[in-house]
Amino acid sequence: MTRKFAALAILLLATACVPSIVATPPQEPIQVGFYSVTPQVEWNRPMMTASEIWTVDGYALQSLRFLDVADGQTLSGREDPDDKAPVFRRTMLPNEIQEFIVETLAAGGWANVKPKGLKPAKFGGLPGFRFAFGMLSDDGLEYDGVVLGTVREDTLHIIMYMGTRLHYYPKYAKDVEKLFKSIRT
Amino acid sequence: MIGMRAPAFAAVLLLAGACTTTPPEPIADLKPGERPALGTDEAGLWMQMDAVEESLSTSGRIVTDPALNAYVRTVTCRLSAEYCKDMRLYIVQTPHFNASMAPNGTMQVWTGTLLRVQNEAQLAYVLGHEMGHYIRRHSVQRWRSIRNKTDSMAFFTVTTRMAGLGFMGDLADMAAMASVMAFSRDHERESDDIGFDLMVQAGYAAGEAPKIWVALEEERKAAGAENPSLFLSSHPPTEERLATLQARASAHTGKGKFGNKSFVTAVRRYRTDWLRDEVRKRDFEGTKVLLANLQKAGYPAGEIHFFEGELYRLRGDDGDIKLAISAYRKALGSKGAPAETHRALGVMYWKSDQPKQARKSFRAYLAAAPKAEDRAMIKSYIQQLK
Repeated sequence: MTRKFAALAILLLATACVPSIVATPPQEPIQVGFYSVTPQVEWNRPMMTASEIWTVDGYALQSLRFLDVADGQTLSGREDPDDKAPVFRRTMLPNEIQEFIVETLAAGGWANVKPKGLKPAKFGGLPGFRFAFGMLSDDGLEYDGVVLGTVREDTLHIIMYMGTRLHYYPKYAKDVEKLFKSIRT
Repeated sequence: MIGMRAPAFAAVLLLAGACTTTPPEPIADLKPGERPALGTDEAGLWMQMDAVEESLSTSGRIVTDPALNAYVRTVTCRLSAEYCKDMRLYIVQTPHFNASMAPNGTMQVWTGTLLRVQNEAQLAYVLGHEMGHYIRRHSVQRWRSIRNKTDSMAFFTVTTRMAGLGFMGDLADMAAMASVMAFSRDHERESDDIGFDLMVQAGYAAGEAPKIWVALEEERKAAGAENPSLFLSSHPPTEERLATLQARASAHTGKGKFGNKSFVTAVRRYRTDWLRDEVRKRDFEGTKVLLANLQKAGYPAGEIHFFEGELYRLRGDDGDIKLAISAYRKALGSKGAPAETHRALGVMYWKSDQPKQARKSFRAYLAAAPKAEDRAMIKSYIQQLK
């Protein structure tokens, strides 16, 4: 019994010692899956979740998401037993991947998701694609976003930056462009 | 996707449970311009729906185009100039068939409805049916009936939770809330009658009223039980109701107008977007029935075949690439195929190892859509295929 309590206490202390969110140090490479990025500013990076979603001012205002999606999975990395949700297929062309992302956003409650400017782009040294998009939130707030992605070993890797069209998206848009260029694989 | 969510489902259960046992209490029709007296249960009901309407009005899914709103509003006012002043119309971009009327006059018409009704006469019937719920105050009748028979606190918990939600993801809840309040067969019969009378008085062709139910029922059967329509869940078109409507339509001797041209003019520019939303539901069988109905109704064959191809492309089962190619080719051989048909065909050719055909299709796409947002990517495809 005493041993159990001791183990529990250690667990609790260990958890308490790890901050749930850390600030990314600017100008220092951070490993995100198989690649690294070098942020220009400090981002808040949650450490206790499986997904990498960063923000500076708050998730509702702007976010930077690093997503890895295996063949047959939804954007959130899950299977789709009902066959109703958009899923990623390894044979998809960039147009289809764009459609998959747009559909996922729309299914998630975003309205009027309009992609623009799909074009080839480098993801580190890998061939990839990028596009921008605009959309409306549930309560009619305008958002902008940009996606950079690549498919490597049948897995889709994307970095998606989005934020409110007024102020919070443009606030770090240039820093995100530099972060895109900093990708090292 | 917007579906029947837990709170709405709970409300439906509560209401459905009640409606089988309690006949609705007689109540005077709402007069034009009338608001319930303060301090009454009806006023409380209106207040709750006012809160729901407030969040609905700022939603990103509301179609704000003045021309489309003016058109649907004009049809509403043609049915009843007196009552239309009391109704606020919200066209909601959602690919399901649904229309609802809240007790305070908040009328929702989903774009899936505008895609499915085939002329102004059918739209008038749907709008008239919803007006019937408002005029007859079915919501308050249902509320009183439920209050007498069920745990009113439980009901209030559900309704208050819905009223306080204030987000778009639960449009279904809002619509269900609005519509389930009028969810007894007697009320539906009454609204059928009112809708029919209003459309006929406004000069529309009576025979169009039952057609929308028949088409919806076909779709529902094809879609199967796992894809219930929200509207049909709250407005079950029983055989008896359909037969009554058909009998009334047959007995009507006047000719009436269909309003084909005015309807098509109003919705034409949105049709492709609504069909795109529709195929993305991935309700393969139901959408196939809808496409067949739209083709019969005179939708451009090119557009219909393109979306048939899209259904196969998105499903991606064995053999679907061939079926998609065949549908896209049919589309391009018909009138009204959108430019993206060439692009979709190019993608399918590429995937079936036909690079020459793929290149040709991508070039055709760029020629048909010189300002396409994905121009740079398509050019890179053409390069890769060389």
